[in-house]
Amino acid sequence: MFKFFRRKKEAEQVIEEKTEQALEKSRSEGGVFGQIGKLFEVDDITDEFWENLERLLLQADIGVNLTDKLIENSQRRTLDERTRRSRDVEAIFRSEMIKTLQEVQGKAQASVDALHQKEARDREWERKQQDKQAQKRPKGTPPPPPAVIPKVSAGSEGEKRPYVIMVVGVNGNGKTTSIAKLTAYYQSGGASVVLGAADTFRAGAIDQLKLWGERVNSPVIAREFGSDPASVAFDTVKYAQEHGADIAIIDTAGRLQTNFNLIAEMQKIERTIEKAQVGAPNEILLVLDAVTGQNGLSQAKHFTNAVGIDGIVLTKLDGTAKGGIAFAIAHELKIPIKYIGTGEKVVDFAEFEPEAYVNALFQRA
Amino acid sequence: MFETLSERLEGTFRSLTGRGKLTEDDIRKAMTEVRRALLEADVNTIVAEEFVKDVTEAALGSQILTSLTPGQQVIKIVNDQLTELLGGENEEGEGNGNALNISKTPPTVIMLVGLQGTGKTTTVGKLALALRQQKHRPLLVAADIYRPAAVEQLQTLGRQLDIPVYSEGTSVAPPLIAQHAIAQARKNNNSVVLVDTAGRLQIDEPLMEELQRIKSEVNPHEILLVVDAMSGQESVNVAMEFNRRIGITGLIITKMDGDARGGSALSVRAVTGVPIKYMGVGEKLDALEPFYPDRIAQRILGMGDILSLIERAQATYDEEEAQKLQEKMRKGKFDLEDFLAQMRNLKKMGPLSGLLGMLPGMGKQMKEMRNALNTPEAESSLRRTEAIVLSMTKKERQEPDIINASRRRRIATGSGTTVADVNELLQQFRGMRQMMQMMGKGGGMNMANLGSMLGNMGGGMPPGMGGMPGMGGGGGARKQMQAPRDPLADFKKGPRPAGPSGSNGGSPASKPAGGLPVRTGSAPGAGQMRPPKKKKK
Ligand SMILES: Nc1nc2c(ncn2[C@@H]2O[C@H](COP(=O)(O)OP(=O)(O)OP(=O)(O)O)[C@@H](O)[C@H]2O)c(=O)[nH]1
Ligand SMILES: [Mg+2]
Repeated sequence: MFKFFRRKKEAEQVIEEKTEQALEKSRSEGGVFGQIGKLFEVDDITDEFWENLERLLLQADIGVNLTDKLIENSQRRTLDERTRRSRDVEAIFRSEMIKTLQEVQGKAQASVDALHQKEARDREWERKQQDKQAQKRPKGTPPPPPAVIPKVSAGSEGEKRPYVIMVVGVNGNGKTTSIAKLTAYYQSGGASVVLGAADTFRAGAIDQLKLWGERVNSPVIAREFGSDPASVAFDTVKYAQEHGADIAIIDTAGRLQTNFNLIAEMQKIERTIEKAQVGAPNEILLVLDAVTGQNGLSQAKHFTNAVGIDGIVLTKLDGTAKGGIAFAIAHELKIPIKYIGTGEKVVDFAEFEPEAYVNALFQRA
Repeated sequence: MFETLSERLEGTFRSLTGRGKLTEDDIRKAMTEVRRALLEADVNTIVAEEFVKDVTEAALGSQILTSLTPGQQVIKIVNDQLTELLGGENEEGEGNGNALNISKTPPTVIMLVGLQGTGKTTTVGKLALALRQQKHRPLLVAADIYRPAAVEQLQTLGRQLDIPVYSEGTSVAPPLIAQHAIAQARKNNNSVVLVDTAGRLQIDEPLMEELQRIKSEVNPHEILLVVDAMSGQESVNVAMEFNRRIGITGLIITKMDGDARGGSALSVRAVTGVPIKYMGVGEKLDALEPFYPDRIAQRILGMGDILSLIERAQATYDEEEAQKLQEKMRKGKFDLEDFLAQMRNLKKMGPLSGLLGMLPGMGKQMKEMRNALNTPEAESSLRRTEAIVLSMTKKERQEPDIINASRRRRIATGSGTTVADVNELLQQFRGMRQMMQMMGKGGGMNMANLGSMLGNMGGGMPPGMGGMPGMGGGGGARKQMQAPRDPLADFKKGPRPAGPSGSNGGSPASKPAGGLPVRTGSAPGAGQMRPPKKKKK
């Protein structure tokens, strides 16, 4: 029991560190969120402060509507609590941001409010940061294994059924790479994973997944270039069933959300997977590039309408863009962010933790 | 999702009528809305602020033209300035004249750079195809040794295009590969060398140094930064850093076939000062177009990109098929097979929402319709229709009038629907056939009709959805779909009578064909006809 807690704590720490490392660059070198952190280093909160904050939030791609709302809410709470001290306002603002994300993560509200405890907490937090700085793990530490391996109940004759994940999104946002990362992540928890190369359209896509499959040591089911992607998905699920694999992950071609034919093709892949196994796909992940602007909302909307999205993988957080549009998506469409991609290697991956994410954003350089 | 700028400005100016001049206060109010529109289109905040400052100055004290409402007046100014910022107005169908810098002493070396996943490799293929059409002999260079299968991707493209690819696998350093490639190009008389580099973050020190080394190795004539149209505020930092480190000579904006507003294109253009040379508008290798500043300006402002709509319609609408259909319509022979074909055509044109979303000057009514069409019900009704028609025999499709009660029952069972569904469909079909007969006599099959068909097929759409503006006229479908070059053309040159008729084909459409409410100022039907776009192979 005790050991489990320790393990869990450690896991949380790795996630926090990964999140932090990913967001490091934007904090230093004048990145947006570092500036937000700095913004709070004033003594008093003025109108100009709010204007600057607005600008910085917009620059993080959070979008006009949510920016307005975040600022209004924070201003109201600042008034209610009769404070003008920057430290208080920062805590208020931070908790508003976490709330936006957490509302859809299915987490207890309590932890949000806990964050809004004044100075003592704040000091403790800062001390903790310093401690952690001192004993940082080297980069390249793999993410902690999943707490549970998702399971699908066996078929009527006791045959094993894989948990099927379908990965979708617009072109070039990191789907295939994220699949490799997800595979390693589940493998580290002891699961066996089968991959399906259902991007049969983009030149080199099949080779790409096969190469990743070799690296993470996982079978890749493929047909030839240009063949029917739904059939590949079907084969993959069948193969996983026959070999008793725990998880099957289907890579799909990048497609713009406005392309009717390609959206229909994706729906067909989904239907075909369902034919291969009742109730599958069990999870559909939308991959979103952190550099995406307001169009991210349109992406999330269209993909959700077409197949129903269970969660977002927010990739390329190691760049200077921070994926603010994911806030807007969480807020407007109530789709949770599940994972983050923080680099090009399989270890550059972590579960998404709203608190770790927002706190890392605010950390001063 | 977005309210268009014109809708917003209308609201702002509702109280303002009959005044001679815009006051400072009016302008300020309007500018808040302009700023919002720009931000929602991903224009960088700083660029947007600067822009608003400039426009405010230009707008202050300007005379309101008698024919324009203040809102339209402001839009005109904003649109002009935006177009200017994007590189100025271009000649009809000519792009912005930012042709590639072709060296007098071949080979011309062109290098493509950018973040991961922006579309560099595909764009290399597209450029190669375009250059070969201009009688160049391109050589492609696989200098992305990092992303798994990037080399294979380029090789596959080379095979598809039958254009040579130079590669040395993944264990030779990219600057060396590039150098060797140039040597080979000289030997083989290739006139253009296109270097595909790996995607990289602008803050990735070793990889940015690598780019500098490639550059000094091959002395490129063009270094093109590939920017994803869907990118947000950060694109400015990315572009500035690439520019600072290696000096870029041009921009290519990719994925413009989606519904991204493309504000990042504007921002990047503004901060780097380098021209946008091309835009990518699809995954196919011929989906590369010259950049049209005026079109993008309108798109950023949410005024709809009527031209892309028309092009998409053209791409999916086969002229011959259209003529056959017209013939049938005239003879009153429109049958359920045609009905189904029409429906499939409409489907091909993209999601209904996307298509209608591209229309300019959409009033509230139109917007409501768009929303209605975007519902799952509308989609499933379309699917149901298809299932029903497919469950009919060939004879039933060709002669729907023979469908009696027992046939209806059979069709309903076969399609998993009810007899009531089948009845409803037959009723819709008859309504449409009637309408088509009327139109068949009056002129031709055109977009306006497609619009109302859409209404019919969505099931229960308001009947007033007369069609899409500016697309009337006779002749073949292709010709008819030529629309005015620019919905704002009237603004730009000040008020003037309806434009001259097109230089070729089609009778001039002087009025929107359908009953759609179109605001006077932006009535796209009143502009010039646009000459047909050069056909692409
Ligand atoms: N810096 C960084 N790069 C990433 C990350 N995830 C993916 N990439 C890179 O982004 C590029 C595109 O990744 P892919 O995984 O091929 O993207 P995709 O969505 O499968 O692309 P298509 O199949 O072409 O639509 C590659 O160069 C990856 O190495 C990340 O978290 N950080
Ligand atoms: Mg892929």
